Amino acid sequence: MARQLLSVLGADPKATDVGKVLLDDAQLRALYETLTLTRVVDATCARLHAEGRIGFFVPSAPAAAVSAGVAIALHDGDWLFPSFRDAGAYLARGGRIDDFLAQMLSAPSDPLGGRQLPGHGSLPDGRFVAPSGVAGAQVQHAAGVAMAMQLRGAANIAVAIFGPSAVEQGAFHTGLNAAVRHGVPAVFVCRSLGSESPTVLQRGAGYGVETQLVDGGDCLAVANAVEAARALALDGGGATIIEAVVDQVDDTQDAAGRLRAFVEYRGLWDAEREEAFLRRCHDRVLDALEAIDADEATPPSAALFDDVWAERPWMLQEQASRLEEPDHE
Amino acid sequence: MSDRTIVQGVNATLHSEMQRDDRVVVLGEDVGSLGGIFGATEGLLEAFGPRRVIDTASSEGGIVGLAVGLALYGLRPVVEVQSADFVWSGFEQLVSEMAKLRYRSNGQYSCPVVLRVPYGAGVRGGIYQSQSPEAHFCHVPGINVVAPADSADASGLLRAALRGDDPVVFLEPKRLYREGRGDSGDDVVEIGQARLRREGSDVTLVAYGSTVPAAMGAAEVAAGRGIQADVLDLRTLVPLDIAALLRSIAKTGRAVLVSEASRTGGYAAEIGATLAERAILHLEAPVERVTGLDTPIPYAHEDKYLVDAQQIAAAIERVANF
Repeated sequence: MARQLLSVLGADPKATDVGKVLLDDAQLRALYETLTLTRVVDATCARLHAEGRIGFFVPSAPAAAVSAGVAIALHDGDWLFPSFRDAGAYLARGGRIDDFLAQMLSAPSDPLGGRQLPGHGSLPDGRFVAPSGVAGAQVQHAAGVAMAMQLRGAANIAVAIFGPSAVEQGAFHTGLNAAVRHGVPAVFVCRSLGSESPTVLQRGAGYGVETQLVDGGDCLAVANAVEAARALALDGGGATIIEAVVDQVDDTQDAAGRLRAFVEYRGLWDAEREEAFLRRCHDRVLDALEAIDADEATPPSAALFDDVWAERPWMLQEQASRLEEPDHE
Repeated sequence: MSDRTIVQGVNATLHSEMQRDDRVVVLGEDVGSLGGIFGATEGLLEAFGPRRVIDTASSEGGIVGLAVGLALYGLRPVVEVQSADFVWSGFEQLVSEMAKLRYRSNGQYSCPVVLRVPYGAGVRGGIYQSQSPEAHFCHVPGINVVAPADSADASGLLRAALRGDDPVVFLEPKRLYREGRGDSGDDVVEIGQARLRREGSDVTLVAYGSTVPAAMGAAEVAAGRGIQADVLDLRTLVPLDIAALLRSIAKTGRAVLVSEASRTGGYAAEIGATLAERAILHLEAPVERVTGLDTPIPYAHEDKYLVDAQQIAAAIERVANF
């Protein structure tokens, strides 16, 4: 069991062991941009929540080093089962700000048709599956998708991200039990506070899976841990649990700040780029909100009645027509 | 083949559907080398190998969760739950995931899992291997619930379930596993279609799954007393074949509803409420339910719990002579 905390980014960028930095310059820049964009989107959502426009809001920025670190380590065809704190992964997996905000606001253009609680977005092209409200369910589903990959001979992995409450749930244990029994190529990433008892690592060790402790404010360490777990899984080594310890107070500034210091030190970023990128983020958010506010479309009743079953059975046809009658009972 | 039992029909259909579609995989406890606790998966491991026939841990929550993941990836998992009484630990996955994935993803994903659930009493299974939990499933939007009573319908409905895009709870009446002989053929029985097994103009007898033979027997007894019953085998509980139900009631004006499950909040109550809403002007007598008791199913006194032809025949007579 790797009890030693994996970290790459130190407080002093000059002291960073560059041998541990596995991402190329473009990826490093993209990672920093994701963290920054997540902060801007988060701040926007916090404001809209305070204004009463968003009914349910859980911040993603404090978790973004883990979200983005996981997302950047995934390859084409890998699947991600996120939690509702993973806007960072949504954006990193190709999610559009417009769609994200439309979902947060249940706008007519919400790709999920206003059905899901805000922050529960989905990206089928990004293999980013809308989370359910059941803590730990993503562990079972990642195990199932990983099993499908194994059965079909696909060189891919499925990853679940979840919080410490999920490991208290039956879903975590039955999912992990299945993953171990079948040796599926899955990676389970738990954001912990580091103070749980038993620790997430201890629980993983009990199942006999590989375990790795990482600094959850260090997105490069998270990416490395996922990459290593991915290689192990594809080599037939089965699942890994990664415990990413996230600072209880707020890792937002710290995680982004540490990466910024490093990308600046590497000459990939500077104050001018920062200002330009922030402006672009704000513009994109404002444009998205303007478009949402200008959208006067009324969500069709299809949003309510479709997709319960593949086709509407007679009960739903009847209930839909009753609802559409102006003086329905 | 014209003379298969239900369990043989299920087995033959799994073979042919796995042959037909390589996305179909079977998983559950002991479905591989043992061939399933009732033999429904016999020979599948030999025919299709361990990538299609998967022995899982003894954990229904884990099995249903895995199946959801398999379905998300595009496979068509058939889960064997050894007994309906064990389904509860998988119930969360069924209610919150299987049934809702299509809806919550706005149609981006679907979850066509078929959950094969042997159910019902009559095999001396005691409290924990005898229950009829269909009402719990029927209450969850997004799931089709079927309950065949013979081999032909079991095979035909299993084909429809495996070729459809919705999750299906496939209730197999344990008591009739070695009976229910019929032609398992190649036909698809569409989900949502009842079958009028016997025609009569005096009373409508509504039954499904394990109680169909008793209902047929009761109809014969009643016929001997000069009362002719329509016997409507629902076959699918959700979505209910409401047209067939109302057609029969319009003809007879009288109904006896048969279900092996406990009475309170049971599926028979749903049928009764439907008749009250939509057929009150046809009804010439109170609707009667003949159901199991509101008790657990006692090992040594199972016969007293179970619905039999005599009870049903008595109800027919009361309703006919009201």
